[in-house]
Amino acid sequence: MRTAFACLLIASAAQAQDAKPWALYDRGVRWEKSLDDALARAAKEGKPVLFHQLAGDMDKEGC
Amino acid sequence: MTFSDKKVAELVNANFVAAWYNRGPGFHNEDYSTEQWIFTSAMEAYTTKNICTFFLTPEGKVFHYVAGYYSPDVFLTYVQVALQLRSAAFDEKMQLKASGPEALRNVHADVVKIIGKTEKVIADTLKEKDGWKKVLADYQTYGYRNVSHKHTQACANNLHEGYRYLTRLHKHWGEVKELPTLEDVQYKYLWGNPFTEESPGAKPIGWEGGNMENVRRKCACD
Repeated sequence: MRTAFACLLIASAAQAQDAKPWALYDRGVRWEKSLDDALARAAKEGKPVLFHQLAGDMDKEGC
Repeated sequence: MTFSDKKVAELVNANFVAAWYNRGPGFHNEDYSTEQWIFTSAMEAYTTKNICTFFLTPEGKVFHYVAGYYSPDVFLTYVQVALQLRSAAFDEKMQLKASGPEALRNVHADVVKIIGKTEKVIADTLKEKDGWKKVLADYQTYGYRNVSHKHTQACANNLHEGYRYLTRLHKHWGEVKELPTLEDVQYKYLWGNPFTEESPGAKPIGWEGGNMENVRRKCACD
């Protein structure tokens, strides 16, 4: 069921697999302290920002 | 569960800078009954407006978002779509190319075709006896807070709703001419179902989920 959708994603998945895993943070996503910090680091590193908004506290919700 | 998954963490950490935001400042839900219900009956996809993941340029422009909760399996696929958008429209310094807006619309159009087909296959399969088992055959199960998940008909139905939402979402993005700022869409985005948890100080989430005509009408009134 997922195969067709996955085909579209092969190119980007390959790109992601080529990147080194972030060994220091292998227990989860590395979160910046604020959106401003994330945007500043993104500009420096030429990366997009993933900004997750929720009603709750990611440090406590067990996400 | 999703962000502590090893594959999700590796993909996100290698390709994005991540931040999170509590739109109910200080709010922390200690009643896990709703969470457990979602985990039990909608583990693969729950398109609630309560949660939204935005993908931003370093300048704070939004080039994609997806509302809702998704299992690691499903979350990985839409992060990969975000990476496709990034590759198609931005240069190595994450600056929008001249051809970027058109490239973004083209990727969304391709995704609509593929997700739309998948959504139809799921809909047809769900009409078969025990079709939900076929729909979920490739999807892993996970554990969360000492509870093990077992796939059910409800999971398959919610996964189908997830695909319907994603189809509508990519159709919407395929019509976007100029990237919005986060401020434009942070509390007014296209969502799939109206479940939410509000707390004192939380800004409500706008827009409608089901019908693009409603979305436009509501948006024009704001």
